[in-house]
Amino acid sequence: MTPPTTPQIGNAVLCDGRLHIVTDRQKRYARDTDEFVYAVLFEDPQFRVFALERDLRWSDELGAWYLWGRCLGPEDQQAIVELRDRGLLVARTSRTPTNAPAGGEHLDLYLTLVKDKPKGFLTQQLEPVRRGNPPPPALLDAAAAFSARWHGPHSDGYADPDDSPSTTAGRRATP
Amino acid sequence: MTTFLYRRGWTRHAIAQLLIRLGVGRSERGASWVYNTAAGDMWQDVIDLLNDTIKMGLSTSTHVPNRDDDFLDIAGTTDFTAGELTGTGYTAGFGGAGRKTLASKTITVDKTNDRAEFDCADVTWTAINAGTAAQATVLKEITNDAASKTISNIDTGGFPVVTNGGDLTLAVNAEGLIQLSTV
Repeated sequence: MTPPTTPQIGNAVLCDGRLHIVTDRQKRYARDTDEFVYAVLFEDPQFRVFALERDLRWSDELGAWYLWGRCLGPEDQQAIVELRDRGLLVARTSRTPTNAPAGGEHLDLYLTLVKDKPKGFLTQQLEPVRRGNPPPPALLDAAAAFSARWHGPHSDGYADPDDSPSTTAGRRATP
Repeated sequence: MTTFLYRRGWTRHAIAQLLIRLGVGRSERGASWVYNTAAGDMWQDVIDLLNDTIKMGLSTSTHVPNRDDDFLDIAGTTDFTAGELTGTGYTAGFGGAGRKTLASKTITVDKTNDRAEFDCADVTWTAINAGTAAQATVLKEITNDAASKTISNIDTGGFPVVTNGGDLTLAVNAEGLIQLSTV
């Protein structure tokens, strides 16, 4: 797929776990920088969302635009926190228990744990674990898929969207 | 119009859920709020939440926030600058790395719930060991701290937080950091 250079009307945007459709692109004046910028409007049946075009990133794997650190919905974020607190999902060694995933982890987490899965997949998979049973194979497979990415190049930063993968000191410590 | 500021309950899995609600015709008050002048500035487009560089900083209980404090540094002993965290993983001061730029900002119109929401990505300080954060302040830096604007203060939803060398991620509420309700 040839990545589009700018969001076009009709493109999909992933934000907060929901896919939206771009419906408008607006030129605006930014007083701080004394320049014109573009805002993008994307919508789903409930929400109309305005974001700056420069904040949208394209993912070939996703086949859509996304916002750094805004890929996961609240339910999936909570499930991921619980998975990590239970030691079922790899995390940075400096992660503090109960903490939400960092912004730079969102896309990889979404692609491996949420995309193409049934709605509420993680929460459903956690149910038997909460009752003291072993994790279901589907959950282990998804967690393994994320682990496989964990050691790969990380172009999304960890805590900062502008982080370069070349300045990774301490960022991706082996769990 | 009465400004109403309210914190929504935080989930057991998030160390902090940050949400401030600006309402119409309500009088309830909570501990997290928008500064008075900032509310006017947002309406007058002096502060443009989407286009401007908006940051979040942390401060200890030395900082005693007052809704009438317009700037980070008002030459007092209890303003934000006086109480800003400093230490490993947090460089205080104007332009310091401790103040994190809010990323992936959006303005969302939620027609189902009759409100508009300002939202952003969760904010992470990595390997921070800089004392106890009593609150987070949303701010806009301009020239220096004496001219930099306070926007909102959040001291609920998990605060105070003791930093211990691990990462600290403040989870912004799924329904936004600041809301403007129409009902």
